[in-house]
Amino acid sequence: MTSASDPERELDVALFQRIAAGDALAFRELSNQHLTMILTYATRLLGNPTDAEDVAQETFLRAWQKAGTFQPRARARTWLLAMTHNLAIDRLRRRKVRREEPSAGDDEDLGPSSEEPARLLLRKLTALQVQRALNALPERQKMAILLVHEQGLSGAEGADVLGTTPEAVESLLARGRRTLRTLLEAEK
Amino acid sequence: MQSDKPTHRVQQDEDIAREALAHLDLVEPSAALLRRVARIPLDMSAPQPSGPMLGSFWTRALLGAALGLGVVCGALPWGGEDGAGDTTDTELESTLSAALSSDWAEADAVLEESL
Repeated sequence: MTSASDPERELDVALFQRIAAGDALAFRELSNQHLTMILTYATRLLGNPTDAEDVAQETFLRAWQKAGTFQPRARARTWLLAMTHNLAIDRLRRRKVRREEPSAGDDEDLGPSSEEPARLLLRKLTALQVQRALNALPERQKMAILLVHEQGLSGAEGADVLGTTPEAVESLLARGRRTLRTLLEAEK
Repeated sequence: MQSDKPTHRVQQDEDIAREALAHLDLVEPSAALLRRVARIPLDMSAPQPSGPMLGSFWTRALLGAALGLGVVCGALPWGGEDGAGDTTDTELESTLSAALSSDWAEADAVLEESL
């Protein structure tokens, strides 16, 4: 856990104060810092690039409108991820859509172009295997793994986003990792 | 030795999860999304007032306006055209004032009379 005097948190608070005052440059700074992370999380949850982009846009729209409600104890990253999470869950529930396989659009960015084609292919295949295994996890386990292992949140921050306790997140993580390992081993 | 096995397994699971997720690329926003997000401050009105202080100011202002309107409406001679209504209101007023006064006997008498 981070202390109240966490410099990152102080910067976040200052940034949100500027946004709440209508500072468009501060808003741009916020989106530059977090848009990729938010879009990545939305894409992993929704499995559909178009829906994920809509959710990412809606997240930043709400961030602009509700900047004044940002709590000093929160971090921008956690606050934004919680909004993205809720919007994505709403969308999943509304449409009752099963997550789709990653589309071609998700695989366009395969890293440095200097990598050899065989290596690129291997990397792409591995990424697909991981995505498939993730998609096979129960929803809450998948979310916990993405928040902690991909987004780098602490257990407590993950609990804030998921609306549960840190202990419950630990339990989700343990079960999720075990299942993920089994699934990945089965893929080999 | 035996007790270390589950812990070791849990650690392995965690390492595997981290390694697996490292294979996933971040999803970069399209140019269209960048434009849509950049337009938010231009297209939307200014953010909502920050914090409860401004919120309560507007709430108080609305309440004050409503109360002021109520006082003004109450002071207007609304019942001037309806004589029957006046009589009834007067009777009711005297009944109530008598009932609320300390002289309960008088109040009973007034009530009986009015009934």
